[in-house]
Amino acid sequence: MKKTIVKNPRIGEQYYEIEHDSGLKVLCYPMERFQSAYALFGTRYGSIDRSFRVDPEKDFKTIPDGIAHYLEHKLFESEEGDAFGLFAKYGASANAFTSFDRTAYLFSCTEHFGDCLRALLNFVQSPYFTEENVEKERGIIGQEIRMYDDDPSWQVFFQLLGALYHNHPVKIDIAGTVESIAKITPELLYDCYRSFYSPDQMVLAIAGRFSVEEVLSIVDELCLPKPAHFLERKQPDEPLTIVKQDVSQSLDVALPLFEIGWKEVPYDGAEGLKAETEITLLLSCMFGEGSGLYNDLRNDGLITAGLDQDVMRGRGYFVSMVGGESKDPKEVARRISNEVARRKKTGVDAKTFERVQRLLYGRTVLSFSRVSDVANSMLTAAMSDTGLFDRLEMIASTTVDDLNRRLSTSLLPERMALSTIYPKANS
Amino acid sequence: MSQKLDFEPITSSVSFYALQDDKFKSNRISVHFVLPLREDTVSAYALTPMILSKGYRECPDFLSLSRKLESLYGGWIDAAIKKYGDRQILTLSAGGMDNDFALGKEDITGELCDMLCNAVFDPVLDENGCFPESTFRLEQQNLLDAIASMINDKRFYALHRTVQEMYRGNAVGLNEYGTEEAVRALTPAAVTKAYHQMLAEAKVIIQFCGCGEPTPVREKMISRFARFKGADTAETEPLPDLSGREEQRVIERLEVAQSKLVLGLRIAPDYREEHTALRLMTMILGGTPSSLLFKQVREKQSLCYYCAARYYPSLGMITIDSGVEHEKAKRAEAAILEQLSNMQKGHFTDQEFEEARLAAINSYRTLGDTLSAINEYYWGRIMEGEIRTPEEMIEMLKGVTREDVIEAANQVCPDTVFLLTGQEENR
Repeated sequence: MKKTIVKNPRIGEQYYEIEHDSGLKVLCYPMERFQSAYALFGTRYGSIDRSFRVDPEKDFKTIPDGIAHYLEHKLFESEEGDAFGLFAKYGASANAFTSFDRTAYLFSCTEHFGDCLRALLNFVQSPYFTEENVEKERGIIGQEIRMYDDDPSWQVFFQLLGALYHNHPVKIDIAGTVESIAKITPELLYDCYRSFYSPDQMVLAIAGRFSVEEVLSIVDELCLPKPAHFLERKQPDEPLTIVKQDVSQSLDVALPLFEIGWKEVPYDGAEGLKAETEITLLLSCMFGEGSGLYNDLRNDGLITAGLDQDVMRGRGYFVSMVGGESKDPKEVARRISNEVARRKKTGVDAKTFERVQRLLYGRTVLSFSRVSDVANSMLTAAMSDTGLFDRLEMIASTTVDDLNRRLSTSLLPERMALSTIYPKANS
Repeated sequence: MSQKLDFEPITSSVSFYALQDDKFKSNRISVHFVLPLREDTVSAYALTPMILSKGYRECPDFLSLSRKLESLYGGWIDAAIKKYGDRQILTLSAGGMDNDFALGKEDITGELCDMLCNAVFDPVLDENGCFPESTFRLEQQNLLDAIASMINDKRFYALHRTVQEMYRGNAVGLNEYGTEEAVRALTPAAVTKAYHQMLAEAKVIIQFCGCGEPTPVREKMISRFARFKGADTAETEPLPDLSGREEQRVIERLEVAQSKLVLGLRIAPDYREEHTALRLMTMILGGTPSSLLFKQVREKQSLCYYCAARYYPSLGMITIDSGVEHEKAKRAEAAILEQLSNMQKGHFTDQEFEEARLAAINSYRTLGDTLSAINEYYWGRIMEGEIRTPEEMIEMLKGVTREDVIEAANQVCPDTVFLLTGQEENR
């Protein structure tokens, strides 16, 4: 076991990074003046891992879409009943989520931390899938999928991913479809579980009020070393070009919703974090509330509820996004694309950069006073092979020249798409 | 560790509440104007904080305001419009990172406090003493869009419509934004009049919450609010008595993939103050994944992804809502009513009772870990008229018996059943 203390003098905070003998990475961020502890047990397995092999001699197999999410639901059920009950007796709350590239199980408690951590490590390591319990879940997940079918912000987002990606499974809904989940069986779930839930694929991230020694002794007891097994994910054959520049559909909404996205080169690790930070700053400089464009759009009545900027990235995908609601999304997209073109010529000025750097710095500092934010950020950082404080340091050390260099290689017009949800004609 | 709220009156109609906890890294200052919720004033009042939060005389446009806030490490000024029983609450708030973390040790909190006071007392006015036409038009459109966009989130929309239908004809049932027609009919002069009326008629509650020192903020508030004369009380009128009326059923049709079923339960008028027993009853019925509704309607019958009960003390009601297949709405309603009846008959186990109590205790203990949560918690207590700490609430919860919960369940009854469902021809 290797234990390292990671410190950040800038904000006077620190955490422990432990490489456990089982292969599990354990991250502990004690926050003694807080009442609660928040623990996440996650694995590098999400909706995009639809094709893989565990034997280098054999072909890749492709599994039904939505299986990582289905597995998340089913792991919550043990032979004794559902796992929520394990936490309920301690007054703790438990939950789980599946995203594109990870699945995580979590609890938040103010008492019985050790018991809750045991429960978490135990249930995630004890799969129990039967024909009956797998069948029962189909109705529940079917309704979860239907709920998202009616969610315009979810639809505008996946429609954009469909316009940007030809083959990458990031364009497929995380929960799959009613048809794809119909093909899920207990055997398939066990197969995926064995492939993706091994300690070397997993991270345990804990923040709040707890003792690091207690965590390590429980991990020693419950996470036994397992021989590392071969696992290879099939890399989707994805060009840098996009599928379509413009996609739309109609739903029962009041105003059109839009999401503009740029497909970027999918950097990962430290390079990915650098690209993410610089693009986040760039988007803020060009489209934030303090930008001229934002205010022109606002004054012309083209945006009302604001202009959201976001960057999302993971294994093999990287998208820069700007979205919102507008009576005329095409006009907003035209002006946004003109502004990017203009900035590519003029560059971002130092004054704007410094203002936006402060903004992002301030927002990031705040996240270190929320127990759940700290735990989630540790998990995110670990899953992308970076450290928790790297983002804050990256923001502080970025220069306006870095930003202008990045601008020349990102937000490219030929890789930009507009996704729109229009109101139904009768709405 | 107890987080106690300090109280100091500034004038008979202005109260200052402060909570300091140095584990946080930010501060938040809120100025709440408590006013009667009335059909003739609701829309003009709603528009007032929206206009005020977009600039003031020294910083007259949104662009300069945004740039100033960005330079203050991403500080913010925000407007919120809410209701509490028959009161309309207009809130202007400011917040941001604490001075201690500023790279140049700037007085961020002092600046934000000044900006907030300027927004309240020193708005931009034209030569006629009215809000400028251009600002008015933009914010009027924002408010119209906010009203129209309520339909985008179908779950929220169905809950909102249930409250509206349950209290149709009463102030409590009014939308806090008013109606589209009323907003369209507003003029700059009418909203300016509402602004002066707000200053003349409101009870003002100022809240400070954060790691910073409250004294300088209080001093500034004393100097700015010293001559403020509004109402002396924020007390609400008793809620209307709905007892004995027949169950109302409302069906609304939209093109949705999933139906949203909401049961609005009314609470007997002389029982409305029994908050603790009602809160615990709601938790057992549908407040956690161990609740009767979750276990029966979701887990056993696979009818839905969510089925939850929520208690609204200020509205004297409880809602139960679920997203279900169109064809299964009747079955879901029957399953929900069966669980309500089980509560009323005391058909729940001691374990279910204790687990709900532990969950409630855990959530009270966790509140103090998040600045926004503890701030919101104390806001609720201030409006209830009795400032109890979370620890005191926990003690009260510990005193609730099974019999109290059964009694609470027998004081509620279905009043309004609202169903948002698909178009008939598509079913």
